[in-house]
Amino acid sequence: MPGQTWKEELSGRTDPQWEEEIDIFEGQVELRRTGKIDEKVFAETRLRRGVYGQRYDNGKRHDGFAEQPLAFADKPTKGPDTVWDAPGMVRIKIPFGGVSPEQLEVMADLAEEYSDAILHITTRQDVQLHYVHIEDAPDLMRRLAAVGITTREACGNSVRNVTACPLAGVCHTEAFDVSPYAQALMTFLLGHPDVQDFGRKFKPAFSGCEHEACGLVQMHDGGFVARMKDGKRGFKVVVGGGLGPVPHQAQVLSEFTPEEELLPEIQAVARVFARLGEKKNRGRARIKFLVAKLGIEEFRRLVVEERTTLPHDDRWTAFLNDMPHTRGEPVREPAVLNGGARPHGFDAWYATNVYRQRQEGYAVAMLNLPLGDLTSDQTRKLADLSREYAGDNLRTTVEQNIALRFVRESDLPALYEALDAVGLAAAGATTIVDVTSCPGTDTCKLGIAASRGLAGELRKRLSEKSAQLPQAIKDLKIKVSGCFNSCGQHHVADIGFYGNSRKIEGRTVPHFQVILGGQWQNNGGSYGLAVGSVPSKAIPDTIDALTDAYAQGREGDERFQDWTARMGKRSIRELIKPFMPVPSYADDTAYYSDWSDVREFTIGDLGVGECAGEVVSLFGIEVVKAESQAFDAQISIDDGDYETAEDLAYRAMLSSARALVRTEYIDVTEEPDDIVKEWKNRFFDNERFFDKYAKGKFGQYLIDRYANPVASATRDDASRRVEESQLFIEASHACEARVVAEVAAAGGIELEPSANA
Amino acid sequence: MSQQDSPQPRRVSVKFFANPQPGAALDLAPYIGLFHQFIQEKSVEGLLIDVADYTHVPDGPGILLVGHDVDYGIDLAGGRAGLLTVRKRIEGSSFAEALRDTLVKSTGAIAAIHGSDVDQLQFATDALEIQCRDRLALPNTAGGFDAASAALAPLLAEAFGDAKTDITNDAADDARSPLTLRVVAQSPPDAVALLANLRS
Repeated sequence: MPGQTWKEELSGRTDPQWEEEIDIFEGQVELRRTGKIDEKVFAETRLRRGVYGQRYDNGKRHDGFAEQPLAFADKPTKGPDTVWDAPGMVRIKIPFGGVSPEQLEVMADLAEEYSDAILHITTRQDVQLHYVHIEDAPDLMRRLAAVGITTREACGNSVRNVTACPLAGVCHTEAFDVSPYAQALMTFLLGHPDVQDFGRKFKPAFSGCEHEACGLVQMHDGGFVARMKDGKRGFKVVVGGGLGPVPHQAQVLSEFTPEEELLPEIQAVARVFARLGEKKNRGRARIKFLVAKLGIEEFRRLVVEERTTLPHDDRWTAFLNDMPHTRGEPVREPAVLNGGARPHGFDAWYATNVYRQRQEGYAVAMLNLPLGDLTSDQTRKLADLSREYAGDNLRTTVEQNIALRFVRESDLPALYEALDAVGLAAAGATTIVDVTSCPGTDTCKLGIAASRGLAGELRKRLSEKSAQLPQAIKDLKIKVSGCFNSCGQHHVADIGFYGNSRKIEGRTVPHFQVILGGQWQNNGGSYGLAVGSVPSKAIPDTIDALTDAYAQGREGDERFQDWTARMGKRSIRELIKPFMPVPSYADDTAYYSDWSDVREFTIGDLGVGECAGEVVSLFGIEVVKAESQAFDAQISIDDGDYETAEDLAYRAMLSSARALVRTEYIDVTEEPDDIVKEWKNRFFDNERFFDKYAKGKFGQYLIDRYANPVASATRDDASRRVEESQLFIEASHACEARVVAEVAAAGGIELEPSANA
Repeated sequence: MSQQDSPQPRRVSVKFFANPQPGAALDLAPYIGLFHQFIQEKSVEGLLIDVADYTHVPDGPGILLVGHDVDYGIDLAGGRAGLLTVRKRIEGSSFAEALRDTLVKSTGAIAAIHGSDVDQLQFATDALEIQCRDRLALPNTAGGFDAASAALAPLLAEAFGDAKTDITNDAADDARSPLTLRVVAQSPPDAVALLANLRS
């Protein structure tokens, strides 16, 4: 029917307010397309609508030989340095991961019509569609809105998706089902005036239990753990957690906030964050920095004070009146798994993918989605199976899976066969084969290394031998991030990785920093620490060495986290040391490209080709000292000597800065005053140290520590300083690479053709 | 049907199937390198952007060469390997015009793949799957199928010449799927000849 539009087609089937908002957004798209509004204004607008940039959207891409322009039409940008026609990503908010079959079907259609027919489940229970054109975004939003889904505030400096445990409501150990509260919080805060002026994003999460991984509240900006007190429902409230380059554990704001105070309390937190949070320096703008700066006591005092000033809002308690205490109803009468025939493969799947609910006769069937991906065809089939076996009880999970809840246990064999027929019955959900990964260099503008490429390779290799793995190894979690920003949640994995790079023989080699001993339980109760950077292509062998050593060396039921702590980082580093060297390019070119990508590796698609500098640069020699100091700082933390650890981490930053300075001023002394002065003058003030995206954030760590020495370091102080020192060293490596490239471009060093030559 | 009344979908796809169909041990990794090479050498039509590896997804998109106006993929959907060409962001073209363009791009890509060193798959022209990935313009209904078939028939005659072709509705049993037309041709011309016919 030519001429018909989705707006006309769906008119009257959508919340009028949502409809109006999308119409306004569509108008803004048109205004920007015709150059009538500023690009920065439009960029913030689209981000707040969940429309994100994607890799290569600056219209340039390194094709393996050289950076090439992508010949997009000459149109106004959709943000600074962001080409209009370049594909982007749309993030779809799924509060507490709850999704219905009807919603799945719509997302399947959208993936097919506007994306690449793949739905990607994120580590925060969202769904992402990639390669979407900006002009398709309004219709995409309309079709989502018609089934009750919004992309509003899925990106930008706003309250992001409200996550929750996927077992909420069916779990054996929860205080009560947190899903209705997560939904209420999302509804209350969406578009709320008090959450529109943050310096950075705010991620909330709900947990039903204290000691399980549950909602991972300890790593969230705001976390809510269900608690009962004198027969009354309420929440332990924590604030100021977060991963990112420098992870923080959340701190307790309130041991018990009654349910009727949940929404006003978070509103008060939002007001304090909006008023006092950093606005100019993005690197210090998350609420974790505000809480750390003020101290939790002062932050709490401010929140309590703010609460008293809030004008009453009926919505604070209205949701309690008609709130279902357990979301979703089963579609079939309960029945336990009987002794009938079991299809081939069922037992292995049952052992890892099925959780028996507290409701007798029902189970959760977990779909182990590879890298969080499923096709439109699979999604439609899943919607059918959900209607047949589970009703509307699907949940996305932070491990990038989907949970089918309230499945009658006796239906599990039939469900397994049906899932198997569409490639959704992979066993090993939440085990070592179920590797989590952020998008990394596949689509993310900030990605340094191919996290998905590595995760795919690990999944393949581990799946092939999973049947032979000891249970202790099967139970481990591997999480991969493409950069230090931690979207893959590597800090809370047994074995985590984040992407970085090293300069070898004038070429850039993809690496992953190895992070060991993160805690998944206790809501992500503690973070792993870095033990060294390993070439990307050596990671699978590194994992084998680590898991073999753990299997052979663990004492009794010792967990991986405890084993790494007992071994100590020095011993662990010895295990990975054999995998750290990089063979010369002449001996093995494979190390010089990343997983699932044949192009010779580059960072950020530099404007000039990689140069062949000296075999080991002066910087390369001198920065080793910094890396050793950072490592020794970690050892000191293990030994409980936090003051030494903090001091060593600071010295690591000084050594790294000095290594940079010495490339230009060989006689700089080892005095901190001289180092900081020269480094600041030569690299920071002129922004040569600045990263394209992080800007001067990592350099500021040194400046801040130099200006504000720590009188008596706590464990948190020391851990934070170690993280900062590692990021400072990484930034120094990146800075040196840029400087060498600049010199080469200016004719200072003879260039060789780089990739695949 | 006049041009004005003709459906104008924004996205259509064509899939030519591999013959013979590969076994489960098919290694698609060489196509990653080949597609990067296509970008470097601009070997196929379209504004090409990047290569995506979806080999981890069962019966998924396999290896995808992502473009602005067209995607090419070694696609495994439905358990059948083939070359999937998705024409995107079509503006102001009728279904037949969009399909002609997609077939030209697709047969050109087949020729480029067959002419490369990567020879795991050979693509036949005796069967193809056409999808209208625009449910608003061409819904998966009997009326949609009739409209699409009518628009398609002259194009098939032009492309396949004397070869007899049959069109069936391949997604009639699931109204949620995009309108999917299965074309089977007897004694068809090969991809190079198809391309020549479409360009003549």
